[in-house]
Amino acid sequence: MTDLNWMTGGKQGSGIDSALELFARIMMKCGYYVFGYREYFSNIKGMHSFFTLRVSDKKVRALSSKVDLAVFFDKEAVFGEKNNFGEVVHEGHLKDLRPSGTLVIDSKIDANGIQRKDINVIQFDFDTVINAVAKKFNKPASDVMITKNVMAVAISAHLLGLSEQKVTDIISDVFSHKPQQIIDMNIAVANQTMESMDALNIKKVSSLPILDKKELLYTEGFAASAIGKALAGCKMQVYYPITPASDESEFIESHPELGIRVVQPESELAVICMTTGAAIAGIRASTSTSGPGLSLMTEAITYAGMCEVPIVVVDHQRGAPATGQPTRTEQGDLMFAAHIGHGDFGHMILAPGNIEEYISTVSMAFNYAEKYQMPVIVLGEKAVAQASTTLEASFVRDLKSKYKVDRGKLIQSPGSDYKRFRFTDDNISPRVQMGDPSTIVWYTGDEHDERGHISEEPNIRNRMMEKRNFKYEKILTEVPPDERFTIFGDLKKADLVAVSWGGPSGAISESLSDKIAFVQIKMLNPLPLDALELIKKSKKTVCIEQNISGQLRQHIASQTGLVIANQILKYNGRPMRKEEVSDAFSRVLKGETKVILNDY
Amino acid sequence: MTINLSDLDSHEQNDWCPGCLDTSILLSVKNAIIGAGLDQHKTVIVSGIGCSSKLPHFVNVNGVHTLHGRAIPFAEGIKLANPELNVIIHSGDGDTYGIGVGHFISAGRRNVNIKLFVHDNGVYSLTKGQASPTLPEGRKIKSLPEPNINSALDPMSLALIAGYTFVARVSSYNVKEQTDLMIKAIKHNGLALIDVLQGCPTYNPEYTSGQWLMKHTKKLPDGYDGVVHNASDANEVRQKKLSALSVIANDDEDNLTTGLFFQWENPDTFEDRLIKRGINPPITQKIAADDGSSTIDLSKVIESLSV
Repeated sequence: MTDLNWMTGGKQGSGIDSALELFARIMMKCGYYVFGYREYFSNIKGMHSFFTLRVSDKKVRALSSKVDLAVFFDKEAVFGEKNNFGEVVHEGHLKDLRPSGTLVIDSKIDANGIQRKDINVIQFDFDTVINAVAKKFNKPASDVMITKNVMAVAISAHLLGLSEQKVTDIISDVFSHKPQQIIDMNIAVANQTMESMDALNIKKVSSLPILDKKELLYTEGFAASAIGKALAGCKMQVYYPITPASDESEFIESHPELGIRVVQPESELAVICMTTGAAIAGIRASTSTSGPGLSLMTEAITYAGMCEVPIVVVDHQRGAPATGQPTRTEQGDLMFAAHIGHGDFGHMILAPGNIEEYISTVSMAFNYAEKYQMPVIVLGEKAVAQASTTLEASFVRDLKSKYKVDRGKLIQSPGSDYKRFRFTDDNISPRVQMGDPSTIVWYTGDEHDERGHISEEPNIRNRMMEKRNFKYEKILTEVPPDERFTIFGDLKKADLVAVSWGGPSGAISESLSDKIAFVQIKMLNPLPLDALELIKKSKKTVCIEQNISGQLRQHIASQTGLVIANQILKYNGRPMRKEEVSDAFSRVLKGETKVILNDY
Repeated sequence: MTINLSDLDSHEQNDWCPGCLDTSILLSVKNAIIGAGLDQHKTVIVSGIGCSSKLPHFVNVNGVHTLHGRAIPFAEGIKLANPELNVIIHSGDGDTYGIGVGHFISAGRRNVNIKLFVHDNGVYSLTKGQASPTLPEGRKIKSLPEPNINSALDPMSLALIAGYTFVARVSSYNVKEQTDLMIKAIKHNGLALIDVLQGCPTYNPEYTSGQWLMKHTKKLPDGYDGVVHNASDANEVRQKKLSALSVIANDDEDNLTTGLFFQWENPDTFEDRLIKRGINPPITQKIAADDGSSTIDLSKVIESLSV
């Protein structure tokens, strides 16, 4: 079984930024599954970013704490960096290597500073490669310097036993859309690097076999979310630039064949109002944002709630509050989403935990929004939105063949006695697209009567409040269990039952044992009460979340009275790694009630 | 099918103050809907919040009464989803030039084919008479404890510079002129603003009475022609804008000009730009087959991600 962890990094904008995707594609072309992640500063050039990729012959869903093979070009990546006051900006990656791991560094870096004797250090003369290729192409060395991504990847491929031919074939394929001269130069860099490595005659880290080729897609969560929208028939995506959510809208815009209008207006206020307007007109419309954007959108979300307008809002959460940590991950928006805006109104919150769920949950969100006529918030997070993941093409095709567009009570030509907000037994009124030739409709954010005109009559107020707020029972009985929660392991037998949502599910699902079972909650509003009943009966419970206040734990307690006794929390902005999660489980089993994680 | 005024009666009773000139604007827009030959089922009046924004409830066309300051983006969303709909906004000066001023200006960048009819009376009436963005500095109206400490913004020059392709001002006391301008605005292919000087007898009777407006407003000079006749002539566009700005610059708080300042049938509406990209109107795109299966073709997306 192969389970290998690779890392590279360096100054942002120095040519290293695309190394992750390149190496991931090479590994996938050799038949492997990957799970990769980019950690970067909210900066364009100069700050330290690093990329971790886990490579396996099986599907993997989380990062590992320890690295088997790392390649670095600058000493800051190895030893860390301090600011002008002598304070740590980042610690460097020496500590991240597994004992007996391999570290490749530029030969200009003084290796004497490396205190670890338990790792293999390879000093590689990058300048010789750069100069040789520069000379061959009659270019200044600075033009070749930016191929650091290819150098890092070629060294790694060599150490993993891949042939020069295989590597250059894949690189030319990956770069095939680029000008021929760029392709040639990158191939030359790869050849030169691998030949120089050969000459060093270093023992290889591994000898990876080439596995059977499956049809694999290199996908990040934002693209998965976009696919979910396209599948659902979303035809308008409105957005305002924000990290880490803009990627999704840009992905949609780069695929005009999907027929989705992408509009970027002046603010998140405009975004949510345009989205809601489009949904009132009768199409499937959506937006993607992150916490600060969602904050600005709240008033109009209450309008969608008040007027029972089906909109889908995807929040790719990031470090909060305020500007927080734009490029880091967090699950800090749950309580905000649960209580979004002023007043009470029905809305749903869904939380996908991995790349496949990003597609299926987002696509289902549109069905729910229209069936129950309410805003649906999908809580994603940077840990999944920008994780590089292997997705099987067959998953997308299967989902497409299974998925059914369900527009609920959307009707045509109801006649002139139609009332948009007619009281019904299930609190959901037939809805028409605006422009229906048989009727006129009115919407208002004021309390209204069945026709959508302002009403302050107390009995109507009561009935309308009940109409908007009492749809949850129907949702709980209609949404299938596997879209509400997933149970891993045997809750009755387990000594410890973990409860979580979203991104941490990856690391948790890889840290389970006979003693530890796991309930991943995928529908956060309304909460799946049947799953919580099962949790109640468990011997010992722990809630794991990527925030400081234990928001799911609070949410469950406030909705059901169930207080999950123990907590594992992480709020340093970095995703959970599988070793730290399994270690935390052991500590909880031994009696610790609150474990704070702090892996890099 | 021709419709008449009674067809446009929603049978909702308006709750405006006696003597409120919103009723005159209501009559004018009904006239204009008839005059422009709009299909009431394909027409939507969008509004924000305030006295004026209750107007959609009183017209028997589709109505979307939205949030304070947000009528414009709601209207743009409706229009971009279904360009067949005739989208008219009625909102107030506080709504449009105060809390919604960002949308008001930014709409000019897009030239979405929607019509913006602003009931401009210098006060926030529904909250009982605070100063609005168009109330001049130092003006003391009866509901203010102190004279207005903010100076006024000028919606006309803002609209011209922001990129509105139809800019007009009219007094609410003149139904005929309102109706004619509204018909022109509705027929105009692009973003249109009509700033309607609206009488508020309750909170700003001093400066919005018929008498005051009669005395302090004047028509555009004889021979003034704000219409760009050759839409592709950039020089003519520039000259017509400058002429309009010159009239506005010579106005002051006690001398307001009314009429059609500027009209340019810019062929480049936002809809045109989207169509040029090959993205058809959302409402016309079929998203599901009869059995509910999604009609989307994901093959290019899959290909783009394939390794």
